[in-house]
This record gives sequence, structure tokens and C-alpha cells, in this order.
Amino acid sequence: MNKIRIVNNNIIPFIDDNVIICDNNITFSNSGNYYIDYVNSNNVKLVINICDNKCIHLFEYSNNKDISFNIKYNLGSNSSLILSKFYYNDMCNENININLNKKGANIKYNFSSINNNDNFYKINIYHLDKSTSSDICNRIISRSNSTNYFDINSYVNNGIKDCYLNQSTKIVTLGNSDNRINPNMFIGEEDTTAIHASTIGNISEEDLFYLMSRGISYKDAVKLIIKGMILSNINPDMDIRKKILDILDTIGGE
Amino acid sequence: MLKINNLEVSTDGKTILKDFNLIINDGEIHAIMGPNGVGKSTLSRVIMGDSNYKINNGDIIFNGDNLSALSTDERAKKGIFLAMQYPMEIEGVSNQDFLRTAISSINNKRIGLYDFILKCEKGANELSMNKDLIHRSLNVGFSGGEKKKNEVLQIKLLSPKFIILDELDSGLDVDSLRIVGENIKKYKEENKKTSILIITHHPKILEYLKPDFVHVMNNGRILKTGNYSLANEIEKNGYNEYLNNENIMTKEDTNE
Repeated sequence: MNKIRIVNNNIIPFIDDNVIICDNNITFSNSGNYYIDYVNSNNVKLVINICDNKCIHLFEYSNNKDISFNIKYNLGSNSSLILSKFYYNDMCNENININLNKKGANIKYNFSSINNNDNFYKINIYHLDKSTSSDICNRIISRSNSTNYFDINSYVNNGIKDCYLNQSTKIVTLGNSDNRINPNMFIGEEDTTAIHASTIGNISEEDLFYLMSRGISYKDAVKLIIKGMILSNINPDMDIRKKILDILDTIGGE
Repeated sequence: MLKINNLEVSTDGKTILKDFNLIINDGEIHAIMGPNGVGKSTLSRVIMGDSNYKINNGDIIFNGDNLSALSTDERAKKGIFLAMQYPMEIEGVSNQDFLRTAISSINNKRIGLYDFILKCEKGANELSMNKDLIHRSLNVGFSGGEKKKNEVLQIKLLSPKFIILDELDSGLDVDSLRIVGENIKKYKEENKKTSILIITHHPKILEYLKPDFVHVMNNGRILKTGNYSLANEIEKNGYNEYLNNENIMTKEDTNE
């Protein structure tokens, strides 16, 4: 996996014939697997372009203090972006715009996060050509006293046929927290498949009882459930998995 | 030995078990039968420590320990295992991760990966389980039979001393019931001191696990206790005879 480092809000230059970097633009001109690591950043502005007929697997990782993201993903004809993101920030304000510009463009957006303090996420998905698809899956652990707001807006205008839209957001709360999910689908075309699911709640007592009835302590049962929810959504490689497990160890089964 | 004394249990202000008494000695197999809603599954969950149920009176003693003082995981560590009627599906938690954590918790020692894989493969083979199920999310997308086989796999891996089978036979086809029944029977033969409490509506599973005692339960207590032939009588005549005669049952009819 090729690593792209963004340090102090700037892309660190690197040599890769398949990646063109210009200012805050990253253009993937060939298919491949990439990893973006946000280091010591607080205000990230990025435009990520996927060229026609290319498939990019992208993993994004952020473990920062108070950070704001403004990221635009532009997808070309028959291109695919399989995006997995893990965040563990003190605070986060994120504005995501996904432009499915040409026919056959598709994005699979899997976001897992363990949230502290105040977090706002706005995700706009624009289906701008026919047969485009978006699959948005957010899995959030909301720690005590945190605020977590999601605005997810999918747009399909009249005449943009054969689009697939899916929004699935789940927030599991550990203690008292303020959580909201606004799943919106603005669809002007009948020939559209649209699915959405949003849930906010504690860890299921029945799940805990089942795990504990096998000798697993309450703390370990909570940890197992959190770990499963976070990791199964993003399937990280071994190195990133290790980093995430270390974070999970620090928060434990609170 | 499990000893239940004068147990009264309620949930949401409704009494489910009342004046319930039962003794299960090491190595014994007991079956509890009865119509729906008489408190059979409640009993199993109370023994396991489900916090949704409140014990108003009485106690449950297992090998000298009062279970009321123990959490669910501590009860499991004492050797109690509840094979649930509806095993939970937990998205994202891999069956493998769950089983390995459970074995390590029960034994207070992290099991090595190689040992774990060997044990799992052996158990899965004996149960004719698809090995892929070990790597999938816990019980998610499993058929009814696969879920029950997964419960029995856990018995094999966790080696409990007292097993509660809560309607293990529900949702099982004939072949799966045979496999599950034979595997538990084999476990019992290899672990002679293990005792089993079978909660069931149908005597078919009892053909594999011949009970030493059969109890008929109604309104939260045991109405009658007999031997294996009582299960066959119930299969033939239904529960009405026992329910109609509830008022004239005496203590000699039960094992209280």
C-alpha cells in the first residue's frame, strides 16, 4: 500500500507515476491501493480525483486534536473508489462532497470513528450521471459527553436514471452523549434504488448477556463488540489494525 | 450439584417462578417439559444471571456457591453453560474472535492460536459444520441448525460442568438434531460428572440424552416429577392431565 502523508495540513511530496499532486489536489491516474495519514493537522483541504475506468482502494487515518476536513472526491466514468476511513480525533468538523461525475462511477464509503467531544459531519453525495452508485456506511462509537451530528445528503436529479443510493449510519453510545443523524435523499428520478438505515443506541444488553454467558467479562464483552463494529466496517491491514487495537485498549470497555 | 430453594422470580412486576425447588446432582440429566409461557426459559436465564429478572425469594446454589452473588460471566467461569433457544447474532464480532476470547476467559489463560485452530477444526468436523462459519460474524446469517451447532461447538470448547439446553431441538431438522444430540451425548460420556438440564417441548432429543428425571412445569413451578417414561406419556397424552390435576398434586409427586 502506497502511503501519502499529510503533515501540518500539507501533502508531503512523493514520487509515484500513478499519482499527480498539484497544490491540494491528488489525482489517481491508475488503479491501486493507497493510504493517507493525516499527521499534526488541524485544517485539511483536499480534492481527490479518480480518473476514468480506474479503481482506487484508499484508506484514510486521522488521530489528531481539533481538526476540520474539507474534502472533495471527484469520480470519472466507470471509476470506483473503495474508501475506508478511521478517525480518533479530539474534535472533528468534516465537510465531504462526493461528485459521481460520469456514468458508472461508484463509491463505497466506509467510515469508522471513536468520538470524543464535538463532532460534525456533513456528507453530500451528488449523482451527476446515470448508473452511478454510492454506498455510505458510518459506524461510530460515541464516548461520554461527546456530541455527534451527521448530515448525509444524497442527490439525484430528474433524468439521471439507474442510480443506487445507500446510507447506513450507526452510533453506539458509551455513557451520555448528544447524537443526531439526518439521512436525506433528494431524489427527482423514479428509476432509482434507495436504501437507508440509521440507528443510535447503547450496546445491546442481550448481546452483552450472550457474550458474558460464555465467561467473557463485561469490559471484554464491550471491547469485543466495539472492536467488531469498528474493524469489520473498514477491514484495515495489519499495521493500521494494530494502531486501532492500541486505541481500543486505551478506551477499554468503559 | 445445583440446588434451587424456594425460588420466586419476577420481571416487570409479574411473578414468573414461584416456590420453585429443584436439585440436580453431579452427572444427572434432568428434563423440564411444559406448555409455552410457564417459566421454563425464565428458569434457564435466571440460573445464568439475566439482570432482567429479579429474585424476590429463595436461592440458587451451585457447588456450594450462591449464584445470586455472581455476575453472568462469573457463573460461566464456575462451569455453567446456557445453550440458548435463540443465540444472538452479533454483527462484526467474528465467531473466531468470540470463541477464542471465551476460551481464554474461562481458562484465565490466553489460548495459543494453533491450539485454538486445532480444537475448532476438530469440533466443527464432529458437528459437520461448515468451517467458514468460524470466520463469519457471530451467528449472523447462520441457519437455525448452524446456530445450534455453534452452541454445541462452544460446549466442546468451554468444557462446562452444568449445561442448560433451552429448546436446543427447536429449529433443527432431523439430521441436525441427530448430530447435535449425539455430540452432546458423547460429551456427557467423556465428562461423566457433567449434569444437564434439558428444557424441551418434544421428547425426540431425550432419545439421545436419556434423562434420569423428567419434570412437568406449570405456573412457575414443578407439578410432577417422573422418569423417562413421563416424557413419553406427555408426548402421547399432552399436558392437560397434569394441568387439570394441578390442585390435587402433592409434594410426593414432585422432587421437592
